[in-house]
Amino acid sequence: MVTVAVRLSVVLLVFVAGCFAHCRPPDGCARTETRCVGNVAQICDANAYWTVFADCDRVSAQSGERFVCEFVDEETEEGRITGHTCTPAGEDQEGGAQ
Amino acid sequence: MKGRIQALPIVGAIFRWRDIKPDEVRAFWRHMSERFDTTTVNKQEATEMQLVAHALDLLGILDRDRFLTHFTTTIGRRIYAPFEVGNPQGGWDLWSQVVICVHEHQHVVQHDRDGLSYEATYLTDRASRARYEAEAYRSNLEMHFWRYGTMPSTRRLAELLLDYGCRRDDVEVVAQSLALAAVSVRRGAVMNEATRAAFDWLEEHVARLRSSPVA
Repeated sequence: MVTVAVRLSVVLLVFVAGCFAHCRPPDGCARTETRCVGNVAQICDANAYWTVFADCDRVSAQSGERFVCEFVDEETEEGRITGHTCTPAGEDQEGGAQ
Repeated sequence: MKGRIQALPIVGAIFRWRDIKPDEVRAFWRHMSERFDTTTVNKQEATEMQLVAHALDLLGILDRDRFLTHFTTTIGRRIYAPFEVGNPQGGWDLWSQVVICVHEHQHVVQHDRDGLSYEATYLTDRASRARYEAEAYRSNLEMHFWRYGTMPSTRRLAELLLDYGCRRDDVEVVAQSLALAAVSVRRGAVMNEATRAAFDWLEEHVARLRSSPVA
């Protein structure tokens, strides 16, 4: 009986916690759109919510140099990539910044 | 394929020659387990994984054997590995065992950072699952760049999420976030905590394998 109660509690907790992801209205952003909020890069997910993609302060601490959230526009092996991400502070942007 | 060849007697030694050594793979896993306080469990022998595999098979989500042999699974601080660490086998050559170790430990970082919300939204929300996996796959990018100095296809990595029940729209978001992460990594960023811990050990013990300099 106790086991059943524990399992039910776990299931309930999972759904309550899962609710955090759904119980607010979508932000209304466009899927794959990106932005900087302070020094944090965010991306719009498939449910139209802004989600944190990279905390550039944390990246700085782990990389041994300062990174800032910036717009990038780059040609790569897989094609052109544009959006916001962490780049080394003071680095010249080849594709321009926004 | 490479793992299967590495496992062969005599011939396997040739294919292991320039790779990380089995003892080094074991030492690396020990380092990560100590750093993040995790336990590694043989997936095929774990009753709970047999049950999950059976359930996934019954639900038509994933073939039982494929789940048990192709996927490493992390629940909390327990990592269920479908291979014996340090022993190469089909699908799991020695370097890929190192990479998956970092990937799974980033899931442990997520578990520590987001608590119950991580497990709950991973299970119930496809966009959240995609986001968490995208973050863990960043470690794959970082490890590949450290070793080879090139980037693997971010699109191909993103499409792996179709095996996780994610939608095409989720894959698009992951492909975009991985491509942007690749830009940062090429410029010297270490984005994931698990990767930082991995680099610390790799730089100290197997720097010979490194292709590109990192911080």
